[in-house]
Amino acid sequence: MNTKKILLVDDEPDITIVFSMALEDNGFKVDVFNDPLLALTEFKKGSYDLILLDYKMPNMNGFELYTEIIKIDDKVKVCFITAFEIYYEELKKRFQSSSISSYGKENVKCFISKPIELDDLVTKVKEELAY
Amino acid sequence: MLKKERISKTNIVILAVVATVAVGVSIFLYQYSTFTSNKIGDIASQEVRSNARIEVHDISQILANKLQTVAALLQTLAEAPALHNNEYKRADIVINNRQHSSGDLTDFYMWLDKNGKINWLSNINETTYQKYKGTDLSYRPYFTIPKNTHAVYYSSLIESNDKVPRLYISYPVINMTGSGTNTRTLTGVVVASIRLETLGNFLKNQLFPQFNSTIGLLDRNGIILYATGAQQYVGEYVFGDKFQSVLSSSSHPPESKNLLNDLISKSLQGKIGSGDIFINGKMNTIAYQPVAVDGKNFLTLYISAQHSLATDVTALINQQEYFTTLIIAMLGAVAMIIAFLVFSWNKRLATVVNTRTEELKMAIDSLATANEQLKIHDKMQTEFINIASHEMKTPTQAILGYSKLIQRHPEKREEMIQAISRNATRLQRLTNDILDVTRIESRSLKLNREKFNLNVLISDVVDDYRNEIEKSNGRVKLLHEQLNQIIYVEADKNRLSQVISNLLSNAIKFTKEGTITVEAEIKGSKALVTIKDTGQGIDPEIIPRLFSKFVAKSESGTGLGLFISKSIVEAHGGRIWAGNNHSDVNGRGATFTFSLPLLRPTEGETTAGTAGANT
Repeated sequence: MNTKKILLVDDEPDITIVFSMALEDNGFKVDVFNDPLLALTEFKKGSYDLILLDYKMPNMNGFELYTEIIKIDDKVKVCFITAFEIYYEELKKRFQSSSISSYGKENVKCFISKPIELDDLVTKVKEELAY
Repeated sequence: MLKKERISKTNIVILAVVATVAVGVSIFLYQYSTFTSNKIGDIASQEVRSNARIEVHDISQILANKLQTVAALLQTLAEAPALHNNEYKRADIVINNRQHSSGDLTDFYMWLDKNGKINWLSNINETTYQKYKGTDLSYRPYFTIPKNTHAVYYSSLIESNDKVPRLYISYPVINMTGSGTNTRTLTGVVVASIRLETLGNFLKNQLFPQFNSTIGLLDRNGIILYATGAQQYVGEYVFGDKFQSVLSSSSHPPESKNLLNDLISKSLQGKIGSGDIFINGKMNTIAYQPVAVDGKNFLTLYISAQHSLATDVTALINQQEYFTTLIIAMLGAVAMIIAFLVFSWNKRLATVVNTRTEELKMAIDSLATANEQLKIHDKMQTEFINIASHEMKTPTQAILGYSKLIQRHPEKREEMIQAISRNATRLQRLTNDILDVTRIESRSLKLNREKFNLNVLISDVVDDYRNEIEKSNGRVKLLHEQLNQIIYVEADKNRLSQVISNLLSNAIKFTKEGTITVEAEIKGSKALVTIKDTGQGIDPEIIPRLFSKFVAKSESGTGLGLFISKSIVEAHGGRIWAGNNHSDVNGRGATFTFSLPLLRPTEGETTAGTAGANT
């Protein structure tokens, strides 16, 4: 089984530490960025099997980063992570509406709400990669 | 407004219509009743006129008949053999017989001899006969005229020897012994005497009692023989000064005197007629007719009837007319009043409805505003909960994650415990801040005010931070400048130290290297506290929203510190503001200032305070 590569972008270092450790403990290779702009400049097509994006970040939010990323790699799978109580539901709706391009919709079927048990996170990521 | 005007116009039109109808009906009724009253008055007057005419005709006929009867009696007397034969005893009987026949009118009958001396009188005895016998009356026209004419004679008014005014009818006693004209020898004259008083009473009795009329009688020369209620004028010539002056004084209007004189003149010419003349201001119909005996006008009779019935009827109708007019006027007035009342009630009602509508509108508006504010508040609340939950979930996620990982990675135990502690502290700080925000927003932030010197409090906070800085970062200097030594304020010490700590920790957070200066000074009635740093400065974009919730957030901050600081300062009656030291150059640092009201802004303390640096 190939080692799956995951890109994790979140402005909170504690979150990226915890999530990356949990995923690495389960055999994933994780690249971490605390700055979304830096993550975008470093991003290359076909590098990752899955991207985990925090929604609320300074300078560029998760959705803005996502729209930029799929311009580079329209096949990559994306999971959004958010701690927002209300935005979580809205975000889901947003992706199901026609406000984004049709090919983008295919990529996003996964939403992760913080706080999440690390085991649950791993399960969710595995499920997402199994498609 | 337009609608109101239209209503008031309609009101005016309705009022005008009501008034016009009332006036119109009044005028119509007035005209109608005037017409009716005139008609009735005319009918009544006509009635009076015709009655007067009938009366004058009837009475003159009765009088004429009576006089003719007397004349006839005289004729039979003159032809009586007793008189021709000078048989006094028998003559007495026939004379008395005549007097008896016409006693209701005649006073006495008299037999004069051919020389005009009394032969015999009716109703006399021997004694009275002696008294009158031979009285010479040969000068009287009632003797001379028939003596000469051999015909019946009707006298004018004659004052008798006994001063009683009388009329006389005389008839010649002619002896027809021979043939031819010369054989007619006058042997005497028989005379019937009529007392004017008796005549008057006779006439009066002939009047129809139901008519309010008076009677007048003139002889053919215009001498007053009788006038109801005016016996003092008997014997006066009707055109004489005495009667004319009476007429002048009793004529209202004055022209009625002329009318009356015309009427009398006409009547004395033997005409029959009538005229309407105002006497003493009242309309009278005077009807006149000559009393003709043997085809000669002997007397003229006048019946005067007052138009009292007509006047009464007119007065009654006028009264009715006034009453009707009054009732119509009252009805009109009542209609107007009711209309006015209804309109004013309508107006008042409209005003009340308008006022209520305005109030309702205002209530609805204020409710809408309140609703809008509630929505905004609700949205803000939702936003706050959203962000606050986000802020709380992040350290919670970290604590949860580290707790799990610490078992699998014992080698990183110390590191992870520190991380857990850091996140727990963050969570605690956030909890406190959220509680403060909740207190501020529910206006239940309580201040425990006490009097103290602001510089002492600043020194304490600055000292705490100085120790902290020296431990971690030696490249930042913290200064406390006391421009005034004693600055008394009455404030909540803990809350103020929270504000100063927050501003200081922000300054330290954004200043990696340089100086942070805290200054306290008195300016007017305020104490000013300034925290000035030489750090990275504030992002100009967020300056307008700097003191809002979750705007300025650092890695370790909650984003609520400045909002809470602002609220605390404002709760003390002060203000807080901030700005970069240089607008164009980054890295020159920022300055935060807040003011507080002074407890005692005394001059002495202000000037006594010396500028000094306490490092």
